[in-house]
Amino acid sequence: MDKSKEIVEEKGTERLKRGFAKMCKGGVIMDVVNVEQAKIAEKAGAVAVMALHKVPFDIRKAGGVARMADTQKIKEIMEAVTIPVMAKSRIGHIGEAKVLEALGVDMIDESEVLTPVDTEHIDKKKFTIPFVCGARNLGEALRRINEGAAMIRTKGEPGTGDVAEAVRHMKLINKEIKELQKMEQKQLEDKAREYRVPFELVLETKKLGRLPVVNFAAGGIATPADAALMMELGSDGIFVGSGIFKSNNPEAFAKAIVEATFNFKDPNKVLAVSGNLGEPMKGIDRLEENEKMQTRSE
Amino acid sequence: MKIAVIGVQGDVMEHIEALKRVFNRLKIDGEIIWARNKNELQKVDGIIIPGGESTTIGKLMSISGMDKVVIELAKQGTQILGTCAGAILLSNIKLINIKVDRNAYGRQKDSFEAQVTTPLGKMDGVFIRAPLIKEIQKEARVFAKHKKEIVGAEQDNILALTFHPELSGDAKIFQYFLRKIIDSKK
Repeated sequence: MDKSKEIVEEKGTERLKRGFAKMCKGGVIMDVVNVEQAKIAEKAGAVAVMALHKVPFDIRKAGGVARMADTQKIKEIMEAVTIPVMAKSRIGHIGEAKVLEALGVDMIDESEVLTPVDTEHIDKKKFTIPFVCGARNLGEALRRINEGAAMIRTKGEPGTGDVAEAVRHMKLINKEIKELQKMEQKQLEDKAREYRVPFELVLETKKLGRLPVVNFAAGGIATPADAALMMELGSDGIFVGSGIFKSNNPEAFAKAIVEATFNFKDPNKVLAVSGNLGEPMKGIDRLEENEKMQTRSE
Repeated sequence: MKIAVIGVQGDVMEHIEALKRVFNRLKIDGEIIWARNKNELQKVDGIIIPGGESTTIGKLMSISGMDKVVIELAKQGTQILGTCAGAILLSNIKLINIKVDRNAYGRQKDSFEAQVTTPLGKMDGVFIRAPLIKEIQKEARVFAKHKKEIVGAEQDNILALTFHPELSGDAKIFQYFLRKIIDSKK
């Protein structure tokens, strides 16, 4: 044997998980329900697809218990495209998450779009593959990161085609981080207690002036201008759920949203991709409290 | 000195930050720009194509016309570094004579960290859904190896790496890249 130290290969480290999310930055991740849609997304320049059995708009319409997608469907999508494939598990459903990990999806979205099974979230540090989780405010975001989430996204209000809630969540998180930056030790300790996370995580967030992981916008994004708006508010990238495949011209919307996300700083370029797209998804403008998905976890 | 990081998609900021740290350490007076269009590539001394999704970066570079400018500048001798997706794109636009296999190790669950060997010494390699250099042709030379596999190649002013030096905290690659720029001006 060579005397030099054997090089240990490591998998599933925090750096690899967070690193994967970083590679998605500036990009658009699209919900798809079949191979055909996944190919449209890939061709349009999506950085990844989220494999589902129904987009959130249809999950609302169908009612009942929403579960992890059929694994055969996910597998077909994984085989059809070369970009990363993500899939959703129900909040707290370690069983579904383990199946998705065994299947080899690139990231799991522990998502409020599906019916939660527990108020306690999955212990994500125990997994080799990374997780993304939704958040409405800084407390939720830091709790998820503390549980091992490698990426955060706003919850917004999925399946509505209304970006208002995503705006609210992103602005609130930004505001709460700004407030941290003005705080002294004692106040930060109080915040850590209020958020139920370690003090070090609060301190790290204060020092960085942003979340310690990638933060995407999700929930209600339906047009190129919606995507540009969320990027302007400081999102690292965009999830589009129903917005593409519930429009009447998915190819055009997919491509336009990708380009608007890249060119959000230049309104003329967003303008150039905003015309002649067809009808965006119709959307839902008002929901009863008990119909909201964002309040399913905290 | 002026360096442009192609800023269409991917971990652009991580490259900017890694470069900034080296600028400070070597006391280089310079500018690092997040290039979103081809005009921002004028009069730069070096260009970095970052990690990200290669199909997306490739598409957006082509739509914005940045790919053509990069090819032109490379032919004039501008130093270029491509990491991961960047290495794939450098091979696609034929700036370096290598054959690259995308997602060669599998999916994210197969992403790994391991030591790599380079002329600059051993360093941590962070491989995320990484490609692999299958073949080195003509003027291209092996630059980095992991076990027996080629994970970095160099051809004059072009350097292509399949791992992520911007995520490892090891500045050697960026120092080397800046040294090449300084030496090429002498």
